[in-house]
Amino acid sequence: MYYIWESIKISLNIIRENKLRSFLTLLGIMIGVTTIIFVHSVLVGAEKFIVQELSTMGSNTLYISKYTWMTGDWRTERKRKPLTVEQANFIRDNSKKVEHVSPILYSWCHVKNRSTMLTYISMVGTTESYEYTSDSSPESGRFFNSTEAERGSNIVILGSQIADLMFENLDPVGQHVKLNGRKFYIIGVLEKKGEMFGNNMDEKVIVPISTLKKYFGYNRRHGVDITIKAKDPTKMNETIDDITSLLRVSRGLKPDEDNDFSINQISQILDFLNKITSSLQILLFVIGSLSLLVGGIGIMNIMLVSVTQRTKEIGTRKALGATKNLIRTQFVIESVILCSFGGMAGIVTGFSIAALISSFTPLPYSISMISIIIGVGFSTLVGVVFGYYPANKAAKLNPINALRYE
Amino acid sequence: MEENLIKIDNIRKTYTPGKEKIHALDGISLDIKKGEYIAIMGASGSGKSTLMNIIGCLDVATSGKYHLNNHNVETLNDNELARIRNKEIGFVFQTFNLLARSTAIHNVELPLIYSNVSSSQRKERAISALKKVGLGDRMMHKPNELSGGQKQRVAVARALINNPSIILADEPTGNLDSKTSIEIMNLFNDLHKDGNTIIVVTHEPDIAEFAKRVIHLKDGKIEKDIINS
Repeated sequence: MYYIWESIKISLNIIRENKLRSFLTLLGIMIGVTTIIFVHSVLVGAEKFIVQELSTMGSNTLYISKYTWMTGDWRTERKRKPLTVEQANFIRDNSKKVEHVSPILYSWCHVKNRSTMLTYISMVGTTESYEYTSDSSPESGRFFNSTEAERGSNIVILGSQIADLMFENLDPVGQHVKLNGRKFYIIGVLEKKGEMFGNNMDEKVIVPISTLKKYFGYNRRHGVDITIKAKDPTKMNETIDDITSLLRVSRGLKPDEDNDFSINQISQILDFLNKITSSLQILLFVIGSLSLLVGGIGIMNIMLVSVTQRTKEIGTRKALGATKNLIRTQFVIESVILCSFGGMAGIVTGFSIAALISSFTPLPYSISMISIIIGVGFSTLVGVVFGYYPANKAAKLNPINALRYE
Repeated sequence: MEENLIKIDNIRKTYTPGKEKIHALDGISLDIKKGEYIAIMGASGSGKSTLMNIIGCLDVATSGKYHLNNHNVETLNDNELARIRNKEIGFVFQTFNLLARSTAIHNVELPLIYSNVSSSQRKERAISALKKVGLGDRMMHKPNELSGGQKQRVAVARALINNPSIILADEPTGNLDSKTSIEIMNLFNDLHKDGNTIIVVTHEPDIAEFAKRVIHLKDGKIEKDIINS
């Protein structure tokens, strides 16, 4: 087995003596591995990022809207009739499978107190159940109750950032603010929620839905969105069926008409995401394989040159007792070492590019063992596959002719 | 009487490069005993290179029998031939055939790598072989730092390292000046005195003078087989 160590030493010597040639040869492999490592690392990072963002939304929550998430056809769905508060109430009153139902309207307003004015703040108009359907429990104060929601009182719950900006260290509960010039009584402040996909979740105000309808403008063609918390997260499909039939009744659909609403779930986003990442993975695999193929051809070419240049050496080694197998092993090892240098360089550059990109985007990058294994594995494989033919050619040289070669 | 180390019986080697057959060796029979010092002579085309290749197990005869140290060579496969070359034969070439990138000591070690000897043993044996040929002070030099005579000494040390049955030298002085040639031939004389079996292939009568027995080839046949006095 000493000849394996001998072969490794020879290969390292040859690479050292032909630095430029070796570098140019392994460039192809390096680019291939860089592509694989870089794209894989970014994809895994992006997926992790999105899953993490979505994890704050519950898996037993359903989002009913005119529009289907991710895959819907916006041009036809736009023509659907808006959903209404009454339809939301109809589900709440008639379904045994739902825990909470919140109709939601969106608007915006200017928020003002004695010292500060904040413009274009997003506003949520909803009912008391919103506290549970969107996990928005107040950090101080309270949420509004059903009577307040129906009556349309001038009460407001502030997002944590609004509270910080307008009241600094004071407790805003019990104070007043003006929303578009109208005086509102602050009953609560929400917990800090942070960002989701770059949207600040703490920069909003919540009012009762009837208050929003009374005083603020909203998109009447869009209508309300309905967020529902199911009772049993293991029975989501049955819950969806139940809601579907109730909504069809309340929207007066005939049996042969299609649903004119969409019941969305977080899993839809994840499915869509998986579809994108898996097609990107395939694309990546194709690009990576192509550059590895090109790199491999380069390796084969340079190994054939090396075999020809060293014909006399091969003849000498054979005369001194090297078998075909040993000669073949020597050249395959040389090719594998060349390729794995390319692979290692590719791993380093791939991760460096990914790290560079993640340093000025919110995307994290991930150094996964899998991509290292893929990088090293593929480059070694290329070394064996494309090194075998030249190595075999060397092994099969006739020793007499090889010794005579000048 | 000692047993024959090499026993060649009616060997033929035929090539068919074109339409006509060429008989490079045309029925050669030859016995060589252990410890002999032989020169094989002949003009180019006489078949001496072919005979040397067959004796050196680089090639096999078309017909006839060849026994080397009780191995029936014509029945061996490629791997077994490689093993015989490694253990039984020490080659010395006209063009030295040293590995250019390796030091003298590493060149000498090479046959031991192929017979799977450990690094420390290889080193020890290579050092003693290099000392034997008078290169104890040149062990870490690469071939391009050595003179022609020194290169050939390294090659001789490499040939000796595995204690082969025969040392087979193909025009060992062909690339050397006459002074250095004599030095190398004196080295062969010393090796012969130590009991090594040596076969030198040459076309120079001066070099053949050093051997104790001279075999002349002509047209693939043995023309003369003379014992030098």
